[in-house]
Order: sequence, then C-alpha cells, then structure tokens
Amino acid sequence: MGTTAKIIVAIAIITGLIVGVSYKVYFIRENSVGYVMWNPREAFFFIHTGKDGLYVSGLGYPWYKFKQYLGGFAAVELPDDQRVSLVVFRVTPIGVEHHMVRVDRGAHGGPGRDADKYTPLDDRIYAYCPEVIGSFMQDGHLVAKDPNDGLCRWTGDHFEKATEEERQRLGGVSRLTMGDFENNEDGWSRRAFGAEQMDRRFTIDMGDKCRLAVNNVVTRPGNSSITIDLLLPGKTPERIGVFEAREGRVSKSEYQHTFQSPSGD
Amino acid sequence: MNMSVGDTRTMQALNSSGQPVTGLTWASSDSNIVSLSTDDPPVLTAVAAGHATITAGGASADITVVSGALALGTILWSNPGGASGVYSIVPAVPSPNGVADVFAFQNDSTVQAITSDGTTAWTANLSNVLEARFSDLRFDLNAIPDFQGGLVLAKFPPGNCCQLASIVKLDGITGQPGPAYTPSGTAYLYLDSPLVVHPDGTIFALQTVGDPDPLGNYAPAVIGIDSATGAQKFSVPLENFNPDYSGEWGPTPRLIIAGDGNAYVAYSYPVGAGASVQLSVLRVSSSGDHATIPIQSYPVGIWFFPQIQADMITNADTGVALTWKAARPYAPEGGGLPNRPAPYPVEYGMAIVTGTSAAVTSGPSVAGQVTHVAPVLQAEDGSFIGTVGVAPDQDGNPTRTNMVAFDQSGAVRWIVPNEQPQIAVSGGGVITQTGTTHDQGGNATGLSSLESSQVPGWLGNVFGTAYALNSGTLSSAVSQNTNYATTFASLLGGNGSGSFTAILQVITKPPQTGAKQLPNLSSASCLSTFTPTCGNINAVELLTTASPDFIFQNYIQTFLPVTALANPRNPVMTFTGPGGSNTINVTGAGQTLTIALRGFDQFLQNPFQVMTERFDPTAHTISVVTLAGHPLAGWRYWRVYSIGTNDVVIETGAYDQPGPGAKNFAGYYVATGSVFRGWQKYLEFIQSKLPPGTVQGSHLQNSLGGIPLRNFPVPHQPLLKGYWDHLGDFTQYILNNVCQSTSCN
Repeated sequence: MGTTAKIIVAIAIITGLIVGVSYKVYFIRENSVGYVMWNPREAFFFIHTGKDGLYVSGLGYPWYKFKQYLGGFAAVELPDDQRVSLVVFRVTPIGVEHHMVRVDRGAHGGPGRDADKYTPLDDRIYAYCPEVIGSFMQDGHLVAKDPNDGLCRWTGDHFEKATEEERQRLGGVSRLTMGDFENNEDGWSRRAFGAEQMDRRFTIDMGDKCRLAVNNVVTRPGNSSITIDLLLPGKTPERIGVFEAREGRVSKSEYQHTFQSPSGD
Repeated sequence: MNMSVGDTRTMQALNSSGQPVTGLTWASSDSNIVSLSTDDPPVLTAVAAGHATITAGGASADITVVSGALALGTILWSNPGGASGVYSIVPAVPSPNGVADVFAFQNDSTVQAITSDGTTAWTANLSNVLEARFSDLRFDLNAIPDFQGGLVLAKFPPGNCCQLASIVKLDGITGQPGPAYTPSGTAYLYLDSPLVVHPDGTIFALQTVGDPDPLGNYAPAVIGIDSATGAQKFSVPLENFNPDYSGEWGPTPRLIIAGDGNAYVAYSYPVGAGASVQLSVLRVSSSGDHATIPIQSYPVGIWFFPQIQADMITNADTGVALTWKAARPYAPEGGGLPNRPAPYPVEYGMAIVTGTSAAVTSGPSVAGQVTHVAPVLQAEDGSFIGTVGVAPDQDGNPTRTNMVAFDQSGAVRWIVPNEQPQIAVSGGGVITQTGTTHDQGGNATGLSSLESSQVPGWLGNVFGTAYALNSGTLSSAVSQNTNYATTFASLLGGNGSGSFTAILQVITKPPQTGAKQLPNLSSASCLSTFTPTCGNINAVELLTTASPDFIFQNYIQTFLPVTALANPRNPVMTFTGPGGSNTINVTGAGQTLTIALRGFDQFLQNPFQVMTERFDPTAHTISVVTLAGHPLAGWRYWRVYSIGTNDVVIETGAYDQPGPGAKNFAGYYVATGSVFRGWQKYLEFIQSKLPPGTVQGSHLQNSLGGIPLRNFPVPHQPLLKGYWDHLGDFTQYILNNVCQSTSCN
C-alpha cells in the first residue's frame, strides 16, 4: 500500500471514529404515579411524572444493543438525565386547578427527597418532606431536634413547612400515612394509582355533583396511559389529564427539549 | 370468583336485563378474608386466604382467596350478561379511550362492554346489526373493535336484512353511537366484505358505486370513512370490475389491512373484450392513495372460462402474500357443445406483493388438494401457515381441512391433517384450533394451556388471561402466557380482535411460571466457568435515630425504595405486589413479588418473579427465592440491625448463579454492575428518607459480620457499592440470612 493510500485509510478511520463518538442515539422513558384524595367537596391529585434520558454514542451503540438482546439485569442502563415533576390537580364541581411543581431542583429536590405520604388532615393536605426535618450531629451521633419538623403543608401551589402550632396540633408526622383508605372520620378517601402493565379503572364520586374516572390502559407491552376524566351532569366529559408511561428512542431535539427546557414538556 | 391475597376487584349486581343495579346493601361474610369499600358497587380487596360470601340485596357470590399465585385455569370472574345469554365474545383493543377488555354479544341483540375485572361498563343495542347472524356470515364481521377502544358497526335499515346501509362507531367509554355514515343515493355497503379498521381510525368498506348494469348488479368501490365524524374520506372504484363476472367466477372481494398500513382487496375481471381474465390486487392507503397491481392473467376460450378463488395475508410490513386457485371448467356457452376437449388442469398460484409489483410463483402444492392453500398466519421466520381442503365429496367440495406450512416461494414444508392454525408462536411453532402445539417442523409437541374454547385477551401473551364462553356466561381464567411469534400475523385475523388488520401484536417474552428456580449447587463456585455461583452483598451503616423496627416496617417490609409509587426515580427496577399492586406489604413466606427492570429501548424482558422464603420481623429479615423466568437462580435477603446507639446496618445479599440459557449465562457477567447499582440505589433511597444529616458510619470498611473483606482478586470498594464474594467467605453468612441453614435448596 502506497503512502497516499495509507493516508486515505488513516483519514477514513479517524473520520469514522470522530463520527462514531460524536453521533449519539437518544432514549427517553416516562413513568407516572400518584395519589388521589377526595371528599364530597373536592379532590386532589398528586402525580409524580418522571422522565429519564439516556444517550449512547455511535461506537457504544452495538454494545448497548447486545446488552438489550441479553435482557435481564444486563439490559439495565442508568439514566444520563432525570427530571421529575409533581403535577397537582384540585378538582371541585366548579372547576379544575392545575399546578406543576418541579421537584428535582430546589429545596425539596434530590433523589428520595420528594414529598410523600400525602395525607388529608383537618381539610388540608399534609405530607412528609424530608428536607425540612431539623437535625444535627453531636459527638458523632445524629440528634434530631424535632423529628416532627418533617411535616409540610400544601399551600395551593407548593409545599411549605408546617407551623409549630400545626406540628403540635397534628402530632407531627405521626399521622401521615401511605396506602388507600375509604371515607375516614373526616369524610376523606385516598387511592394510589400509577401507570402499570395492567388495565385498571376506577371512578370517584364527589357527592352527586361530580364524578372522576381514572383509567390506566396498556397500549402495548411496556407502554401505558393514564387518563383522568371529569364527568359533570349534563356536560361532555372533560379530560383533565393524560399521563404516559413509555420508553423508546427519540430525536436529539426532543431529548434536549425534555431535559434542557424550563418546562420539560 | 377467585382472588390472590392483595388483589382488588370490583363486583356488580345486575338485574335480569344485565343492567347494573345500585343502591343495594353490600356485605362480606368475613371482612378478614375479603373487605369491601364503601363504593357502590364496592371494591373488593383480598385480605387473607380463605372463603367469603359477598351479598348484595338478595344475591350472593362466593369468593375464594389464595395466598400465592392462582393456578392455571382458575376462573377469575364470571359475567352472565343479560337473561338472553352471551353467544359471542371479541377482545377489545386496549385504549385510553375505551373501557372494554372484551365485547360480549348477547342473544337479545345487545353488546356489552366488559372491563378487565368482569364488570359491565355499558350495554348497546345492536338490533339492526344482528340480522346478519341469520345469513351464513359471521356476525362479528359487521361489529368489530377499532383501535380507539370502540366498536364499529355496519347496520341494516330496519326491516331490511340484506343491504347494509350505515356504519356507526360506538364510543369506547360510553357505548354511545357517534355520527353515522350513510351511503348517498341508491348505493349500499357490500354484505360479503367485512369492515376493516385502520389503527389511525379510518374505516374501510366496500360500497356499490355508479349505476347498476342491465342485470341489476353494481360494481364496488373501496371507501374510507372518518370514524370520528362519519364523513367519507375517499372512494376508490375497483378498476374494470365486472359485477356479472364476479361471484361465481371471481374471488369475492374481501378487505384486509396489511402490516404496511394499506388496505388490500383481490379481485378478477375479464379484459380485452373477454379474451382473458385478469387477477389483480387493489391497494388503498388511509388517505385514499391507491394502485391496482396486476397479478396473473388467464385466457378465455369458447370451451373454458377461468374461475378464480383467492386469499390474502400480510407479508410482514412489506405488502401481502396472495394465493389462489384458477380452475377452468367448461364455460356456460361451451358446456353443451359436442366434441369439447378435456378441461385444463387446475392451477395454483402465489404472489408476493411488494410496493406496486408482484412476484408470481406456483402456489403451494398438496397431494389431493381441492382448494388452494389459504395463508392464515405468518411464522417467525417469514414462512406462512395456512389451510387446504382435501378429500372431495361427490360435488368436488372438500370434506377435510389440513394445516400446511409453506415458505415465500410456495414450497410446502409440512402438513398436519385435520388441524387449523390459530396462533403462531415464538420458535416457529403454532397452536391449532384443538389446542395442540406444534413445533417449527409441524411435529405435535403437546397441548397448549389455552383451551380450544378459550380466547386469549388482547395482551394474552403478557398477562396470561383468557376468556371463555360456557352456556351463555362469559368468564375470565388464568392462562399460561403464550409467546406469540413476532410477526404481523401471529394471530388469526391479524390481531387480538381477529379483525383482519395486521399489526405486530407483541414482542415475544420468555415464559413465566410459578416454579422455584433453584441453583445447581453440585459444583457451586464463584470461580467456576460454567456454573458461576457467587455471593454478593450491598450494605450501608447509617448513623440515625430511626430504629431497626422503623426501617424494617417502613422500607424493607414494604419494598418502598423499589416501588414506583414511592420512588418514581428508581432507575433500575420496580417491584409490584400481587395483582400488579404498587403497594407491597410482606407479611410471610410464600408471597410473590414481581420485578420489572427499567429499560429504555424495548420491552424485551418480561417482568419476572420472586417468592418470599423467610419473613422474620424479629430479626428484621426478609428473603426470597427466584422463580422460573428470572434471569438468576438463587436467593436474596434484606436485613436491618443495630450495631450501636443510633447506629444501624442495612444490607442486602444474594447467592445465585445464571438462570437457564445462554443469554442468562452471558448476561450474568455483563449485569454485575447493574445488580450492584440497583441495590446501591435501594440503600441510598432509605438513607435519603431518614433525617438529613444522616451519615454513613465507618465500621464496615474492612469487614461485615466479623468476616473480613478481601482485596483479592481486586481491591474491594465500599460495601454500599457492592462486594463480590469471589472466594466464598460469605456463603454461609448469606445462606443463614436467607433460610437460617447452610443449604437452602
């Protein structure tokens, strides 16, 4: 092989490597889970929508596909990007309030730092917010100033730390729970739901004025869709929310929009 | 009704017309077995194993609750429908715009939308659709599920049994009819051709077009209808169609939608002033773009006139495969003449239509055949499985149907007498109408768990449920998952509803069973090449005020860090409880947990399962064993314990080896990091939920449980990130946590 040919081959290889490294394949998966709490007057939906992003270089793609072929734990990939939002609906017979709360940044952000144990107490929604617990280290041991400081309250568009009076009156976080219940002593009910690989549907009657239908449908294996419909007497059903659970390859622009735009939608 | 502990189900009270009745008083004979919500109707929750009777007004139903997985064949629920009884069932297409899991057609000219838990969501009147039952056509071809969760109907005008005059869609959620499509003028819909629905909502049908010929016959056109508005989108006439010729001499035009998204119809017609007969295929897209694709021409003589019968199937997503029989019996005008020659032999043909071109070959040839081999399914390797009529009676009609496999060139691979294909399965095999399974060579291999009377649900290969109809009552039963072939025609009719629209129904998954998948310990060693059997541990020491009791009850017993509800961020795996529940509460041995690994690209791995082996709230320990279908074979435990004041250790460890198969073997080595990362995330989640400022202690840097951590063959990393027990130092430690013994097999 002559010198010129060697140079051409070398350039071709280098070009191939550059393209292989710089070209990327993008993937996104979405999931949604949440709680609905209601009484005859109002209903609250707290829905976590999580989006994970992964990108694989052209050189790494064959290895990625091989691991997918093997399946099982071999096919597991940790995301390169993550975005979680808390979507909140408050539904009354006269309307729907819609709030989006970013929880992957800011005071309540960070893995595992999301609020949970949403519980209606005294006609307000309280939750467990790990970030607002007061505690400190002393002589190498953790000392909790007041474990009940973890109590927080939904104000209408965000969570904030409960007041001292509320913590005293409600017994701190001791009354916060998980799981479903029906028509407790205050007239509240709670139900968990999520996008899952099984068709599920349930309805919620807020008195005789308002019905909510929550429907999880498997659209194909691995993908499902949750819809929330508001049904009022004499009116056409109103779809107040659609949440997808899906996974798959996306374009670079969709990926960047999802993880770099302020809304991520 | 049968339930597994943790399942929730709804139940309805129905009146004699099959309509739901509300306002009744509901009660459970034992709320410790089955509890009822205060809804009307209530939600039933299976609390513990046993029997309970649910009463509502004067009616009652017995519920059996079992602690483990329900056995194959177990009836999940039954729905008797109305008083007239159910006579036909068709699985609905899953959709966010529909509630039905299956449509139940009843003898009183109604259809009921039955949800996945057996309740009746709505009932609709079909009085002007049902007349077709009394013809020799399948009724349900005029009432087919669409891909938006609804039901599309072709209806007769009142009092007219024979000319379909309107098409209407029933809404998937309410069952209410939408805007109807009605042909204008004297046109009417072809009775012989079923409706077909495109996944995008377009309805395709055949409708008469133009004026009748002197004999009163009409030519047809393929029309497209917007199912949401009832408006006609396009009309594409069947070019050169001669209504006087079709019927007895040509194939009956029947629509299918192939995997490429186009509708196809095969037909034949005389051309060249009757000099020959042309077999063609018309292809129409859902926007009305179309092409007529010539397939084969046969000359016409005074003595003979070609008579053609044909059938089509999708060919993956590239077009269609067409097979036909061309006979040339004596033409009417030549049949009575003297000195007529012997008739031409019957010819069989096959065409692979791709784009607007067709590759024509000899059709599959079978000894003694009196029909062409009609393609029914497409096998995983692209070959076809179909049927052929043999053993003619005195009129030349077949008296027996055989199953035939043939490739894309028309070559016959194998024949099975007296069988008909129903489902193409992974590996090239097929399940027949008798429930017999056959391998890719046509050899009978056994019986499918799917009984011949059962219809799999739309996702029957994933969820393992099937519907059956017995004495007018619809029931849902536990069925073994069926691995469908990954083709666009793995099921009869191209999809789970059998509606002649070919789709890629599912991606094949490994089967799941309830059997323990125990490791082979005969030569267990971490260093073994062929049966690598290793222990591995993730652990974290936390300085926290939370007690082991608190951590066990809140995070270990509930598997909270790996449930989607509590931790939607979990990037590796998601656990669900019985019935797919997002909330888990392990209370003893024998409970099944389902694990779904989180992928990005495809759903290649079915969720797999483990079963609890040990539940010890005193030692704050839970262990599980893998079940068949899991990529690993072995055990895992989770445990929390105190090693000092405000000082706890949370750990999880496993002793396992690859599950059966080469992929699991290769995956075992590739997956090491993923397993560790998954459990690291699990421990970090617990840490994150404890008071902030919680830090990791320093007692686990060089040993765990008094056993030193080795720096051989590689320096060990922090236990939080995972430790491979290459030399087996921790084998007994792990097994003791799993089953309090030195051998757990």
